[in-house]
Amino acid sequence: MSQDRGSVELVDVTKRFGSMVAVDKLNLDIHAGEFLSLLGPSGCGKTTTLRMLAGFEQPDEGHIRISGEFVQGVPPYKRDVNTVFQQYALFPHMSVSENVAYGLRQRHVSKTDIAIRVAEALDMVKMTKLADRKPRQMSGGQQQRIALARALVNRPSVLLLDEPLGALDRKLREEMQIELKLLQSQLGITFVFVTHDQEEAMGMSDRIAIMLDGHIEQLADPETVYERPSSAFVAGFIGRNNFWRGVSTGQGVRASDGTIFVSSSPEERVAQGQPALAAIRPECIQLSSADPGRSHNVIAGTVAGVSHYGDVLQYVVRTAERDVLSMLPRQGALRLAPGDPVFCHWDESEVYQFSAEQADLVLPDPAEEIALE
Amino acid sequence: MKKYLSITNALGAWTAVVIAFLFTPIFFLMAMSFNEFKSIFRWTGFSTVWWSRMFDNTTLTSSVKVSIEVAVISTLLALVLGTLAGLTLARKPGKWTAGFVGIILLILVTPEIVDGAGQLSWFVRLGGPFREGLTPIVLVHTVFSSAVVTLIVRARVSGLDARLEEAAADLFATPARAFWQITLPLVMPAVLSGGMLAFTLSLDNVVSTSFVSPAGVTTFPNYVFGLSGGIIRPEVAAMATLFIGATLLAVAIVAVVLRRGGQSGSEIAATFTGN
Repeated sequence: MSQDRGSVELVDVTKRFGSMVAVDKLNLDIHAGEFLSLLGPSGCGKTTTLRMLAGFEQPDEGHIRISGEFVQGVPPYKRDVNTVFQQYALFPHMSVSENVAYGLRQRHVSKTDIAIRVAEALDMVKMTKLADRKPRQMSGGQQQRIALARALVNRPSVLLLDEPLGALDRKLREEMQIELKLLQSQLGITFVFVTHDQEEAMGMSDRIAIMLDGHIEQLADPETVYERPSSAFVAGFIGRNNFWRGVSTGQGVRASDGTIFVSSSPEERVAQGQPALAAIRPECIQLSSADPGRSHNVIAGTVAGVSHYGDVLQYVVRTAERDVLSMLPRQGALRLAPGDPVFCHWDESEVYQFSAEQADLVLPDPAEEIALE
Repeated sequence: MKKYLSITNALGAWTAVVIAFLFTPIFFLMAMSFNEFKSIFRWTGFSTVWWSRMFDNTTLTSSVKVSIEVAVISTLLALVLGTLAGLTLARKPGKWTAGFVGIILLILVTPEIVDGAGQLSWFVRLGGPFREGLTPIVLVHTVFSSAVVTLIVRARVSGLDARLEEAAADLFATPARAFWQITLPLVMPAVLSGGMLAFTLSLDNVVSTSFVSPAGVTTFPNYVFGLSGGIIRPEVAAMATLFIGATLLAVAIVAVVLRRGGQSGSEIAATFTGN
């Protein structure tokens, strides 16, 4: 095997469906052995990208290399990649072990080797006991494991995962996230994981490619996309954020409601006087009953609601023009009740600024926001 | 609670009435095959004599032979044509789809008498083999049987997850292998139920068959139909009973095959109703 087995390279890849551009001049280098997530809202092109890697779709422009080899025109059955499908796509007329053996059978692996490798794969996903069951006799979580075993038993150079955890309930999903990550680091196989769930991507990935409208907004490790989002869209999509629309002051942003944001690292790309967005993460918004006594990085309001999330408390503070979300550790949090007057304030280092181009993406209609919840 | 129970009872009783309405004539016919008298219209006493005598009536036995041969051949033809058409309609639809489905539905709704007359005039024009032996009857039966198989197979394939075929391709199966190993086994219940329907439709067709039958070639239903108005002997009832038995056996065999293939009871029931 060559040294770059498992690497993937997409260069200027474009895919159109009719007049709709699903993937727009996408460039992406995936390192051999890394866990990379393609993260984005529906319609961002992440699944189309995955399907081009699998060979189900061919790019209209650009080229793709897998393990260093050009795969233009190579059909799925000749590619050294395997897919874990959304809803699993297990063969309903075959038992679990027949499902897992299917890929090996196509490659004419000997019967004894198939038996050994299927047993290993089932053991790896802890499904040995159910080897003789039919898929329909199993829960979603069990089917998920079989789908994983069916793909991994072939020891592909790249494993493609198309929202494989989407159909599972929350607790199972979190368990599977941990297992997937462990499996990936043990096997050293490149994982390309498509998801719209940012927590899933943050929890498992070595790097995340955040996609929007067929291109990559930011490609970085989870910490970087969280700490240094490259655009307002990324800041809003990864974690949560409070956004204000306003005008750049050079030092920060003057919001439309009069709040003045001063940043310790002003954004130079937004010229003074230009429309801008300011953003503060909920966990960076401190609350105090007393006026902190300064003219910037503070906004006054009243508590509208308090929610308990175990280790954190979430406050909704109603200010003149908008609601501000604050999430604080339970320990040492102020005891506040709805109706209490309160001051929200934050450090200069926590102020993000962005150009106002993506304002509509991160400041949705209040009506839509409710629908999304 | 009490009211609910009485409604359940009433529904149960109604079901029994409907079943009796449907099956009494069949049971009556079966019983009449054991009649001593030479007609099925008057019961004189129990006898099994007609069950052996029916085999001496060569007109009757040869008509049964024709019926079975026609049914087998037309069913096989309909299965090949209908399965391919159903698969194509579901998986590769195009501009022609609507027109093609229209033609198929037209075949099913055209009154048989129109069908028969039309096909007869066409076969007369063609002449030769189209006016001899089983060929014209087989062709007529194949036309409506393949329409039925097409619709049943299409419904099944449309309900299949297309990603199963992608999954097979992803697991290194060539398109041909994916078809044989994944698509065909999953479509098989529809093929079997379509085949069964095609077989029974062929077995009991009278109207269009009577139009196109060449001289000297008669199917069992047409033979029986020819007897109406005169005496119908219990040997006909005996043969009909055999037919019913054979049909039930065919259903049982299909059910066993499906069960072996891992289908559940409700899936088998769905197969027989064409879903």
